[in-house]
Amino acid sequence: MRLSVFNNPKHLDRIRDINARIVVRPAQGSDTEKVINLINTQYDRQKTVDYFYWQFINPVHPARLIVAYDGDILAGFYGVQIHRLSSGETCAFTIDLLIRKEYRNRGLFILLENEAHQFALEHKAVAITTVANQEGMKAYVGLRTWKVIGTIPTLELLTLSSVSPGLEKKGSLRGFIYFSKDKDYRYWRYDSNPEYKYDYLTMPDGAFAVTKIFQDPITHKVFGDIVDFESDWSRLINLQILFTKAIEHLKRQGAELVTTWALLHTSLYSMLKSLGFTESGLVRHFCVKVLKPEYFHLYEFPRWHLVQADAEIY
Amino acid sequence: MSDHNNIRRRLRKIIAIVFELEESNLPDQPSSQNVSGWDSLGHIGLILQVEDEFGIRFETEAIPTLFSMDLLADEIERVQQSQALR
Repeated sequence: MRLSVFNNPKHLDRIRDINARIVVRPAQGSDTEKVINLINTQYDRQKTVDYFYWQFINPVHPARLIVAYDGDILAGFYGVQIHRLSSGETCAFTIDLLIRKEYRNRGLFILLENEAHQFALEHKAVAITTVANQEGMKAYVGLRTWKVIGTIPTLELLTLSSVSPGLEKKGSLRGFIYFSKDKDYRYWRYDSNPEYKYDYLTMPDGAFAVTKIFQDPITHKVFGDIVDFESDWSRLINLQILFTKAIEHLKRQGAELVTTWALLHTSLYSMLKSLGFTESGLVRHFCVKVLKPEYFHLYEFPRWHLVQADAEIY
Repeated sequence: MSDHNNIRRRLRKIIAIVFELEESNLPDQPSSQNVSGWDSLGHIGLILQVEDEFGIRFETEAIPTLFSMDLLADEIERVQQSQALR
């Protein structure tokens, strides 16, 4: 029997009592320096002030960074964004969870998550989702109000010569649930991104892929990611042509390794395997908390299609 | 059975339930080091359950330090004694 202690209002009150000194509130511009300092002391991947403003102060969709303070000390934070699903509903997506080491083991994440939950409800979201690494996934499992519904493998292609000339013609991506990305969102996400530079590779029929080049500052190895794409999903062959062009584009830019995401249950996955992609061993975990019972089908991973750009780190 | 042993016996049961383990499979000295799931969130879940079961409230400062059954048992005894003196 799983104990859902964090669902119990009495226990939530007790956690508030344990964290009585902590003030939880939405972040403001004046929090920027402390947020960036905390991120940069915890992760190798350094963030900038521009990232904070872009992500939480000037987003294209509603977003909130929830901060927790003990006096002047930033104890932790947690971000939540509002997205639209391809099926039309509003869905929240959480990012940037961090709790200062000295403030762990006292339930602060539960208070932050509760605030994110309230923000999602304010925006009529039917679910909250996230893409978590192994450590993050454990936190969501620990909450016991979320479900880890599936694993997202990162596929990689080492050399262009391994691209198969054979075309996988069967299959479609139609009917899957995914995070919708309109023109305004994509402009914000890619064109005004303060951290990464993206390229659009456009086909005559209007299909396009979004790619990113990244050079490891230590090894100087150049990686290429196919982070997003849009195509006539009923014709997988078009996608195959699009991906082949994107791979060539990244190779021309010096990419030694091309990566992308495809979920095992999609025909995209088998198509990419036919192109020579293999699983890199790097996985992410898709975590979901459905907020309205009529949307419990969102717990079914085979209904989903996700791209790298759904996670803010790509 | 002494109070001390009784507390440990009850704690073993609570730890097994919270972390969904058979009590017989728990190590002799259960702790965050050897019990699967006893991480940051698992810890606060355990604390809440222990507080309910024993009808006590741990001091806030003590909570992040009680990472083994022995430490929990000692703190429960201390809190119970402190409450008895009031």
